[in-house]
Amino acid sequence: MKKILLLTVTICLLIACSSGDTSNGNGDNFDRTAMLTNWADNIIIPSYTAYQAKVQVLLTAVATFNTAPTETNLQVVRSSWTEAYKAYQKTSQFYFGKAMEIHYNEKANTYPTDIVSINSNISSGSYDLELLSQYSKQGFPAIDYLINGLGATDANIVSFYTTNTNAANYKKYLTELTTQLKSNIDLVVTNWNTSYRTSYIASNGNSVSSSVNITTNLFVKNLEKYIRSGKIGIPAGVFSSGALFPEKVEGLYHKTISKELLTVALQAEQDFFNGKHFNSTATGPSLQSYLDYVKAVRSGQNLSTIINNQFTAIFTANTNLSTNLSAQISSDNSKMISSYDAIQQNVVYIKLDMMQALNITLDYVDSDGD
Amino acid sequence: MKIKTLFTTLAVTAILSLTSCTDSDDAGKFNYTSPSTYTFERNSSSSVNYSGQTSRLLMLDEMGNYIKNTATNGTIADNTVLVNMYSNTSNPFSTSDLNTSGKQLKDKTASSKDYFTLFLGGGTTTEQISVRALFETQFLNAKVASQGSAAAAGVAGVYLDGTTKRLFAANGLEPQQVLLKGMMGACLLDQIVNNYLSVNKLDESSNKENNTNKIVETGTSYTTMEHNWDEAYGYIYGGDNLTTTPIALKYWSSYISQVNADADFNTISEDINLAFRKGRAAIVANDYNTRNEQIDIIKAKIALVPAVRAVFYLKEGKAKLVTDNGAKAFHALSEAYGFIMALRYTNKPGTNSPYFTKAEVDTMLASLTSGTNGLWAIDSLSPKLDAIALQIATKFGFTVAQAETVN
Repeated sequence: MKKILLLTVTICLLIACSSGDTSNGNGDNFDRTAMLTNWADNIIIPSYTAYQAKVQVLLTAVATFNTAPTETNLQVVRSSWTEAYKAYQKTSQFYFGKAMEIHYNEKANTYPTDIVSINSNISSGSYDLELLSQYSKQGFPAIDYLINGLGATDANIVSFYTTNTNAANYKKYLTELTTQLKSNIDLVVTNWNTSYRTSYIASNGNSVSSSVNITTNLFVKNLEKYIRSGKIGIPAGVFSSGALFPEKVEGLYHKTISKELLTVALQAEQDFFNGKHFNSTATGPSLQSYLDYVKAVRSGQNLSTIINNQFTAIFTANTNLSTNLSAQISSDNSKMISSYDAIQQNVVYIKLDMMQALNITLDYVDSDGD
Repeated sequence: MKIKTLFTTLAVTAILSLTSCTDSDDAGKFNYTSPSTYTFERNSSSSVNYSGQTSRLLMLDEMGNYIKNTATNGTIADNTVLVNMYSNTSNPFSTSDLNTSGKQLKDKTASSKDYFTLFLGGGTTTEQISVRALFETQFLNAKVASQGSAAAAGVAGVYLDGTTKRLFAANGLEPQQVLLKGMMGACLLDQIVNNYLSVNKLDESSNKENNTNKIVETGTSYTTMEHNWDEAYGYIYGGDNLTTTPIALKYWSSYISQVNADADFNTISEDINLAFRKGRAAIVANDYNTRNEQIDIIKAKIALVPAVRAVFYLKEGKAKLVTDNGAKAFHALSEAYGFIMALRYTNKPGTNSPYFTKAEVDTMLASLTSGTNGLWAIDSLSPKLDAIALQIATKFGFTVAQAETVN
């Protein structure tokens, strides 16, 4: 009996006072290396590579169009742009390393795009797309304008590349924007395939600069800032006391791509959460399995289940949205708000509950000061 | 017997091991006092700043006075003016200080961190939008009433209440009171208890670490946590002028004082004020447990104010239903309506939810105006007033009689 007591006392003290001796410095023994390997090899690199291939297709389509600016070739450019834009959505959350260094996201997807400056760039033929001030004049939104927004009909649009006095400059600008996308993704892919993959996986600790912390923070930030706020909240007036900005949606000129981009981006978030391999149903170590490993619960239910259920709720809310989010805002913004609320609920689960459960420090704050 | 000994040993061990590792026992650990007034300094200059809150209280004052003056003068209450005041657009206010303050009431309406970002207490963005729209509807109601003649059942217009002219919507509700009391809840109270006194807000990001190390906000003499606390304080006391005779109290400060005037609640002024001073001193001293205790005190005490006043006005209104076909009662009932709205923004300590849910509050409000032509249906209204008064008093643990009579 005395031995039992001694043992019990010892265990009590250990439980009460232990700060945890662990292999990953986070109070648990979850295999972070395996998770990082899954992320790098089965999600991140394949997502980037798939996007790279889609941009190459777009580049080829643009070249063909410039050689023969016909409505048919314009439509090929458009469909290639659509596919590349969707593929891009699956990469935007990996905004660290080389991607961050070269401002990959700002260059690819700053919207609303600045059509006044785009027009002046085209007419002057003089600009440096590397400049910070040029981010709103390039990327998918700028190409959107060039292939969807110049005229009301395809014939009108094609005329800018044929009979317009600046036709040569239009072609040049379209080519250079596409080339810029290509060279940026080339830099990122090359970096991952040479040195970065190894150092990324090796950084398996729990410091603020570790790979798990950085990747997870950006996963959260992508959901909160780029998906929730950018794709819905800002145009739907959530941050402007109700003043609506239907012209601030993604893919404005294409008109019917905005909801699809939203869906792809959300699905990429959920797939990453679950460690789902790119273009496959297989899964590997992930935030979801990490949460289950640390037995994270909320209101008696597995937090990972709650988060996945909320993704389902988001997709359900989104079924009420028009394919054209701009039109949706103008016709019935309350449906946008319902989608916003559904996403925000998952932001709460992920940004607060998940981060706390995994003991990952949030490295960005909202500036909602007074 | 042996088993009992085992359990006893286990219990003692558990307590010992808890004690050995916890910070919860602060006795003797902190050595500081709370000042007798809300005065805090760092490096010989005040570290207290709530100018943004004062600005918003003054804005609300101007909005209320605008409606009141149009009623008095028989001019039109232009809802565009009110909409602009609400969002501080197009220099709507009388002073350039307010116009250029960068502050507005609208973006702080139903926008607390706990209820409208973290969605605790049942909040959503959908609700936020609808409550903001509700206030803007009051502006329109005021306009319509200001264009009418005498208020009557189902007819918006003016009612001469003694020597005071009041604007009534068609259902008898006074837009000005729904605005003022409603905003005390949806904006001021929500910001106080669900935002600035929220530990999610106070401790967000590196606030705690910065406060512990006294890292002040750039260009100021306060830490972010200190400032958050001051902002909560400012939403209550930021409109007060203690240099006039008699002193002028605004909004929550005024109503805390009015509730305190009743012997049944005569410690509430000091309780709330002391808790603010204690909490602020605790923040300076890095005594977070004491801070959290004061948060709970303030949340519980401040919630009593709309509850007591709602019951008071419901009963006052009930007594006046016999005069002028009920119209004499509508000012008081509109105050009650606004204070009931405010109950939705209370925060019951330990729950991060209001004392009454949004649905419960909406049911009470709907009940008040559910008769034909709303408040004008005085026969059916009277028992509803009693039922709602009882419902509120019971929830908060006082009697209707205690709130009804200020003595």
